[in-house]
Amino acid sequence: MRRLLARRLLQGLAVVWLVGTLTFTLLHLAPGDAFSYHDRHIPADVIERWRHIYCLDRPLVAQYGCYLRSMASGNLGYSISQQRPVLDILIDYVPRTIELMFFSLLLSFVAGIGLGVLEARHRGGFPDWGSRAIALFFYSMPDFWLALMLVLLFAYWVPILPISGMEDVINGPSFSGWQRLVDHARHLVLPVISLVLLTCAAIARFQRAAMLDVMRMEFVVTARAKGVSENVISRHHVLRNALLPIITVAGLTLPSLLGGAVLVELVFSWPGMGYITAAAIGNRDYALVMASVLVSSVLVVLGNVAADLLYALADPRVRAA
Amino acid sequence: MLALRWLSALALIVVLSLLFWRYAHPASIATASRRRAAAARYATHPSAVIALLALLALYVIAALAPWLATHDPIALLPQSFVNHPPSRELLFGTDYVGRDVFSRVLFGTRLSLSIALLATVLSVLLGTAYGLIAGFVGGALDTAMMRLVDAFLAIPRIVLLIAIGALWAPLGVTSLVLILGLTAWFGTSRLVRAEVLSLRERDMVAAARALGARDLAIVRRHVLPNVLTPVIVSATLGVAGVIINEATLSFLGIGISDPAPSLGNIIRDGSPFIATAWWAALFPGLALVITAMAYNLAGDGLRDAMDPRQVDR
Repeated sequence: MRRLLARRLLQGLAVVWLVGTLTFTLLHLAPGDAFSYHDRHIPADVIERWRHIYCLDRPLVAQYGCYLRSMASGNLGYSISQQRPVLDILIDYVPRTIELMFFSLLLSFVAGIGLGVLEARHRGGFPDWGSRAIALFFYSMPDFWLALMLVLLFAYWVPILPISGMEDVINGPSFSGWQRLVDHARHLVLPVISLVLLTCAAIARFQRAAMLDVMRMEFVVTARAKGVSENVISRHHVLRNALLPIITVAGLTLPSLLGGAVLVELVFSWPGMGYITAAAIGNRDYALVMASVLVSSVLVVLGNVAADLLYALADPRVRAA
Repeated sequence: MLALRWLSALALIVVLSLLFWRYAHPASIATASRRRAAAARYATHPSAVIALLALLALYVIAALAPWLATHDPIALLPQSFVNHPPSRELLFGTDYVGRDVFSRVLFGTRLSLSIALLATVLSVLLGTAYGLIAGFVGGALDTAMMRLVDAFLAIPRIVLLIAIGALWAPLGVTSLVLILGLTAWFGTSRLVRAEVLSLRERDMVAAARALGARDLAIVRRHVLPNVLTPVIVSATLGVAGVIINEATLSFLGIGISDPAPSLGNIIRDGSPFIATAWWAALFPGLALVITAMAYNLAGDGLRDAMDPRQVDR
């Protein structure tokens, strides 16, 4: 178990290093550097000093070494638009993205697994193709457009939910602790629903396939022959075995979920990583954009390691391997 | 713009004639009958047939956009027509500067379809070549190449696109095609490599090698025809993703920029006025969903038709 963890973490580290090298390459292929574009009045000698601190005045190989060193020590650069270190900004914003993703992933799994089981049990029937058609509809939808349509629906046509930010700006300061929590949860609803609608389709699809795979197995036939009821078969014999592969799916959906979160955050003004990344584009804040690439790959890698570990915990055969 | 139009027409013609050529001249009777069986299986999925018809209709609409459009997609109507709701005259209403949304959606669909098709062709070629080399050569090269793909796949696609787009903004049509194509091949390369690894060990390859066939001949005669099926399926499904990614970039303001219409930037123009002028954001989005759904359904149908083992999984 410990060896598995060590191996996965090492592999993850290699992936992150490759991603870092990639962002470094991209930055150097691009016109200008992190300090070329800004609309603020920063004296030229200050810019020169920054260039010197971030090694931009040195040869390429030295720059690469410098880049790797600063990355390893957690120094992700200096954000020219917010005028503070990128790491400080990320520490403020990333937890909010993680919060959003945590609830979305949790609900996606509950909904996706439920739908997958329903579809598999009524295979070929109305619940099956009906639910699959709806899933495909949402699956084929651009994240930002779904979010916009939810804004239209819930903000203007049925105005019951807040559509931007994470707390009530006007009444928020006077709220008690409990009220603040409720207010925060209400702000979470729409962004989370958008992400769940986008993600649970893929999970339901995998769950359905996994259920159908297990249903073909002989022990299911035996159980049925013994006269075990269909409910007990699908709960005890099929679902328990079909839940395993879904753990891997958690790792696989992470990149698209994170990508979706970027746009959903933008539409709902949820102040997370996606929101500042989108703002950084307009400001040509290279350091911030590149750091968000790196951080999102770190999140994906960590998520995958967690999924692998969960899988090993759930399935003793993997642990032994 | 003109170059893109010719390029996409050329790409479409090349793809269609290649497919037709291979279909009309099957390598053997067995291939011919397998193909007929696949076509018959495809026809048994009503949703797949509808999707295919929808795709045909979309391409016809895109091709005929200049004749179907009721207004100039770029021209501004008089001031009183700003944010005008849908009417008989203005089918989808007008946007915040008074442009006809219906005409813009037509031209936007045209642009999105061309860009997605070209980018997908590019990514399929790249991914197939990459996967072939990695799988067939094997060894350390394979490991290195696949670790690189792992790294690419660890970055959410849209975050990667945003980063590239942000560095080179504003993007032209050509660079947009390049960027979308260059970031869409990772999945294909994995798929091809896995397929090649299993094909490499088959008896037919051993037999060909015993007969003295060279590597290149083996790849051409035995490997490439057999990886074609999964590649076509994943390419069909991939177009849907590319269309959505292009729209996302244009929505963020780093793809196609005003005044040229793309489905994404029409939504971008409409989004600040969503409360009062919902039509400018709703209709281009519907066009996107219909297009992506048609590609997804057609891809699912193709997979079931071409690979009966995979049915109902």
